Amino acid sequence: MSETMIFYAVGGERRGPFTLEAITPYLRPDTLVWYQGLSDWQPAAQAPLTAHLFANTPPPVGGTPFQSGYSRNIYDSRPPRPSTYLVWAILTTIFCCLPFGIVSIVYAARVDSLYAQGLYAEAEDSSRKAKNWAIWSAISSVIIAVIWFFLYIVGLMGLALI
Amino acid sequence: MLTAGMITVIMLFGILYFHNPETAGFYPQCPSKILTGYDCAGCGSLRGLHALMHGDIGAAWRFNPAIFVAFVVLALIGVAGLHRHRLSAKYAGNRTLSFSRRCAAITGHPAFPLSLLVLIVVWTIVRNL
Repeated sequence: MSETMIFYAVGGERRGPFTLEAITPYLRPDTLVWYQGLSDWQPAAQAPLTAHLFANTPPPVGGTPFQSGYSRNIYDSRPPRPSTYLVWAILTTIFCCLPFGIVSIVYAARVDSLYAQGLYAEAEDSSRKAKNWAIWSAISSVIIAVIWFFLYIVGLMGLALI
Repeated sequence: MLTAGMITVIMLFGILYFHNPETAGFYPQCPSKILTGYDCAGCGSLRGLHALMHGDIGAAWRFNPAIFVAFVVLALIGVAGLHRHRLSAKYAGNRTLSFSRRCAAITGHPAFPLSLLVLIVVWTIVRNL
């Protein structure tokens, strides 16, 4: 059976679906979640699949009841900002001469703006794509360099035969 | 892994130092240049680095001034990374970190990667005019 994919809501907008593991850092007790099998959106602290994440969460300080407009400080569990891998994007753009490096920078730029908007899972996703494009840029240039060198050797041998 | 990578990089720099990309045939040509006929933002960086290694700053600048910009940007990111690393270690709140803090503020700004992107695109267009 495949893993249940979960949607969550940020500022009234639907995000996802993501795996439970992927969205765990972004859920707060009152974050609305939905996945197949739920009849309606539920706070993460109450949905069966995510409730266990908050089993040990203390009640808000001062006995304030749960509200959607809770003070950010109580549950400020902002995940660390994902890396933009900008160094690799720049290096591959300058030295690998492939458009892939530019794609990597595009995703790097999205990481910061998504994170600033509070779309942490999406920022994480862009971060991963930035890394992958930089890696592919590097790998493809190595492949091109190897092929080029091979052709060069073949060419030299051809000259020697003439 | 890291050691192997560093040895590879040092070897590549050695090759680049002793063999001029302009005259040696074994350096790969830029795929974008072959496909489109236009210089990409990074075209000339190998020749430029070779010139720079031999102390010819003027030639390096003519091959591709983007090398120098890249150096500055990479240095910024490096200092910013150091800043974050030291902050998380033991120097939290230390006032002498103001320079690296400023670097971190620049590289951490959402507009930073975006402006790099714009810079690269504009440079690609301008150099082919």
